Amino acid sequence: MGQPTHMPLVLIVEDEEPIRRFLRATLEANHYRVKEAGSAREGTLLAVTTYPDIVLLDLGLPDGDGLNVTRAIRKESRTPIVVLSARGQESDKVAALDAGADDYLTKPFGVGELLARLRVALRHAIAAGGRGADGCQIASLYECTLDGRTLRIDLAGRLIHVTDRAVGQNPGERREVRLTPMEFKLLAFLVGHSGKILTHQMILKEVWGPQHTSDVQYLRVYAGELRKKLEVDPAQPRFLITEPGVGYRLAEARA
Amino acid sequence: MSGRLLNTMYRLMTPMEPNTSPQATDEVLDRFKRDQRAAVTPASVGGSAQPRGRLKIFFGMCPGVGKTYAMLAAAQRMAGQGVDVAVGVAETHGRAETEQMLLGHDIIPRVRIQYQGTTLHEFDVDAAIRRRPDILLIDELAHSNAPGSPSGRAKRWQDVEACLAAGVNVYTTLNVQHLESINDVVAQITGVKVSETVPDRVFDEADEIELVDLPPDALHERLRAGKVYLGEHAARAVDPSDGFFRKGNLLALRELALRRTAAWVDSDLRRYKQDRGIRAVWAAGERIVVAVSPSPMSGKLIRAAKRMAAGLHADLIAVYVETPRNASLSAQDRETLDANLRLAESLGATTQTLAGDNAARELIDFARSRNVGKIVVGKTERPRWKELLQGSFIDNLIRESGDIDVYVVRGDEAITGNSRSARRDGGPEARAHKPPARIAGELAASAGVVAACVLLGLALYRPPDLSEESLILLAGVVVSALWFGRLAAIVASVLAVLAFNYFFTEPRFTLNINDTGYLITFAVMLSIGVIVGTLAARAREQQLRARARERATAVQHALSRELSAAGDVRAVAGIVVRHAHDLLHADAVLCTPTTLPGGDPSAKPIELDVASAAGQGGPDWYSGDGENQARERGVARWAFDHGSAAGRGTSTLPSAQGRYLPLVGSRGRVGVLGVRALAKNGVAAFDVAQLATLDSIASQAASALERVTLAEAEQAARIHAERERLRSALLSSVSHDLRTPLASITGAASTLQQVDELGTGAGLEGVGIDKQTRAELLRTIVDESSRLNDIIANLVFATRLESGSVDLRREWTTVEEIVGAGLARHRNALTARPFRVHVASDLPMLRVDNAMLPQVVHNLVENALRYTAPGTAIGVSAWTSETSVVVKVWDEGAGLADDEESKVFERFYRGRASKTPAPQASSATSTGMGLGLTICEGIIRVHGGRIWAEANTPRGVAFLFSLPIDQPQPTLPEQEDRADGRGVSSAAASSRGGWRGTGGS
Repeated sequence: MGQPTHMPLVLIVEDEEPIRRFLRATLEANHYRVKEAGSAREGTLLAVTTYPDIVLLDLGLPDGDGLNVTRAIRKESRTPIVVLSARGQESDKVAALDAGADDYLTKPFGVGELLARLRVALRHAIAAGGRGADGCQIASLYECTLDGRTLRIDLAGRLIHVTDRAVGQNPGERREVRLTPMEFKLLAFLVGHSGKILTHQMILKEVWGPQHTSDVQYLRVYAGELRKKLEVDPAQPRFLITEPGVGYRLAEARA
Repeated sequence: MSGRLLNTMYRLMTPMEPNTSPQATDEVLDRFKRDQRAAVTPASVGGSAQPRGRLKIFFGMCPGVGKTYAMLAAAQRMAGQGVDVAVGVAETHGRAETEQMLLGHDIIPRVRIQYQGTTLHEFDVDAAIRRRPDILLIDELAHSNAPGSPSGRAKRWQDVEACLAAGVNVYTTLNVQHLESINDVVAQITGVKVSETVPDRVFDEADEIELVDLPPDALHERLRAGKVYLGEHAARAVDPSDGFFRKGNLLALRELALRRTAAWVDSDLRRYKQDRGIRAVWAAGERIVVAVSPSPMSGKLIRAAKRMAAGLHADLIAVYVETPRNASLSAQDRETLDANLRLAESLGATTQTLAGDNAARELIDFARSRNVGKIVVGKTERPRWKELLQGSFIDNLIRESGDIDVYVVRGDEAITGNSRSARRDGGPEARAHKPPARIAGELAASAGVVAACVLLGLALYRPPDLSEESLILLAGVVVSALWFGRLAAIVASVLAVLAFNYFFTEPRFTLNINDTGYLITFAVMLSIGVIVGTLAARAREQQLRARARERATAVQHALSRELSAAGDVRAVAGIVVRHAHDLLHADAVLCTPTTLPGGDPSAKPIELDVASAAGQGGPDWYSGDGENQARERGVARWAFDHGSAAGRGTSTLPSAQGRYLPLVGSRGRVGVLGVRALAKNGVAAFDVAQLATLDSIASQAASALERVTLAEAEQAARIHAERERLRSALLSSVSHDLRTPLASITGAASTLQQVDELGTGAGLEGVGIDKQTRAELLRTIVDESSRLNDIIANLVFATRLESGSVDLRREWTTVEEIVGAGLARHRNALTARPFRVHVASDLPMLRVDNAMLPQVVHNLVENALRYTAPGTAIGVSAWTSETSVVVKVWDEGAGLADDEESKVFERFYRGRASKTPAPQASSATSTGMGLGLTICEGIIRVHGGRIWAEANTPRGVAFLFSLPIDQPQPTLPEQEDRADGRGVSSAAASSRGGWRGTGGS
């Protein structure tokens, strides 16, 4: 991170000056370069002229809908977009995601959450850049430890293991988890986008096919099965997280 | 003005001013003119709050005398003095010198409208009023607007009145032949009937008249020079032998114009003197009554009366007397009568319909009650024998008149004279409405009565005394008369005479008689038959009329009784529509403004909505998307805005289908009643009696509507007050609950800020705080911010639930997901406690809003965390009962008091202080607005479920909610029966199968 030019450029499209100030301060402290736009028009213009690495886009702009900005940017580039919106606007979030946004943050949000979203989005963008537009399956290996349980998924070898560190009779024992083909297909898709929000539609379309995009119950059943096999308590999931009214997110890989 | 005119004026004035010397008159006139000029200068314009605008008319005898030119010249002069002049309409007719005068004026663009394939340009009244010039020029006062004109008014003079009412001063032009009262005189002189007329009232009320005069020879000169008409029109116009502009015509028209101007100057002078309190010279309040009939000649009579009234400066009242004889007019006569009454109205007369037996007496009584000095009636042209037989209306009138003058004018029938069509029926009896079959039946029946009498007489036949027989037959005649009316009585008496002759007198069974004495018997029988028949028939008619009146009264009574019971606008509408249908045989529509008038009139225009009975919209000719319907609504709107009737049968927008009456209550306009007569005998119009009924319905509807709207307003006010109370409770709650976390945040942040400043700036390093305190302050800021966020989210959500603006996005989901998502944000708080979750594995799927239900779990857990001490256990469990899924959130805190179990879901209810745990657990058990449970209740309610609180065993409180299981359950993917090489998960199959069975698929 020594060379400033290698620092990712974040374009902030947000009309509230205090929020821009806080974002600028935070992001610069965390080795991002920042460009700011205060309106939809300016944001669209800067998004296509300054080649940002990622766009932070407020959905409620005074001069236009954030959705339109999303579509306008998507016409020109695949720059990752993370939208900012308020709670209680789940349908707006889904609409933004369907329009091509990569993720969202619910205001108010903490710095940790913000940096995690940016990190995930950048990682997926870089991976997609290396592999082509469809940008699936960035790594065949996923490993994540949360609350004492480590989940290790080897997609290439179709191997899934859980290891509970501190609790149970045999601490540190590695158990293999067996999945049905559909469960594996679902998990594989989630791993391919780990840390990133996936709407119900996206998952149903990819895993079950375009004719099943309204069969949310399929997804519920298989998510439930996966949780039974992967989580400590399926009613308090840590790995496969529900985003109410929007979709699912597989926890970001971390050691 | 020419010397001759002044001379005329002077002559006209002098006899009316016996106590004023000519010199004094001139002085008054001079002052008057000065005042007039002063009134139009800008200084007086826009003074007080919108005074009525002033009207100046450039008056001429015929086209071509230069009115428009004179108007434009005057406008030029005014503009030269700095007055703001705008041109609304100026018809230059292509005359070059007139067009020259238009230069430099601001011209208001006209509106283009399509009418019958041609594009017309009409004056844009609204634009003119918005423009607010000091003086607005509107040429051709008598112009008729094309149908569909923007103003919606039929005549330009109505547009001008609108401008005046809006406070705009207007200059306009008018030819004498367009004045309503002179219209027919002009038609006689020139042979040209002018259809575009202006009520005399407009002319009389003008603030200034400038006569534009030109001697006929000079006009002919201009015509020949092509200054009036261009091209071949010019040649035709100046043809001296024929055409409008022949010299004889012009002389007559000029005289009319001069006389009318003189009369105006006189009345204006009088008004001026009265205004200035100089001296009243006229006995005030002279009134003239003109008797109107359904005859087309009545129009002439009315105009004559109007001229007389104008000459005497008297008010004119047009009266129609409805008597039993003319109660049943033909539809055509009705229309003529209505037209006559409308003409009278347009001439400035008030109209009145009376009812009674004796037209002459009714008229005289009315005249006395109104202090009327003169009655004008038309000369009748009826045969003398008829007058002798039936009495002459005019004779009666004169006999009864006493001190009232009666003027008989040529050209009209008596007002009560039956219309031609009624007379053609052969008798004055109101028989027109009896079907011929019924008449034949009655005649046959009376013949039967006579036959029965003959049989009785034959049974009692004892010659030579025939008195019994004659009396029996006479009795038969009387019975026929009483039962079947006058015609039957006459027929019966003739039959009785013949039968008496044939059956009883010698020689019997012939129509010959031996004893001439029987001739007297015949005569007596015949006359008794006719007299009794007539009397009986009249009695019967009176009885019928009394009954009809009684029925009408009863119906009206029923209407008012029903209306008084009506509780809301829709009920009123239903009753009015039904009665209008029954009483008037008409479709009706009742419209009410969406907001009550009385506010700022310049505010957004009030929409008129159809108020209809339940399940009905407005009638299809009114409610709908069509152009015609939109126009009907426009007419209704006009009636509402102007407070006067519009539409069919009125002078405003008469081409509409419906007739629209404004409903005026004691506090102002409350709505509009629209009625459309259903075609009866091919005629869809209302007669005078029906119009009276309509007025009565309208006034009752108005008061009922006013009453219910007031009641509704009161109800709304009560609801409003209740809402206000809640709002203030909310406000106090908000101000407290929002400030508490804000105070913590501000305190912590400012402490950190001050420490930084002191530490770096003043060299007081010792003041610094240790690292741990710093971390605590920072955590306070973060925690309190998130609490603030929760409070705001709750507020927003509660408001949305309250207003009903929540739309559910139902999706199939599992209870496990709901619980998991609901617990997610409490993870940190819950790890510090004994926390147990048990969700049964065989639960069916629920079709719920997947964003809202987790909020319920979240809030219930939040509540448990808040009201229990740290370290006490909390748990969530879920199971299925027969038809629902139950979720329970329990704690082992202090529990609820008995009366609290129902209260906890009320807004702003907070647990009692005594029940809350010790205050050392401040941040975890933060107090918040008592909205969390209310929101839970709201969400569960909109999902059709139930939420309640109960005591938990062994201690604490449990909140439970149940949601109905949706049937049928969704189709699920086929169970996978093929392993991926590493084995099938049997758990998946069994658990899924379990609740699938419950789902009853």
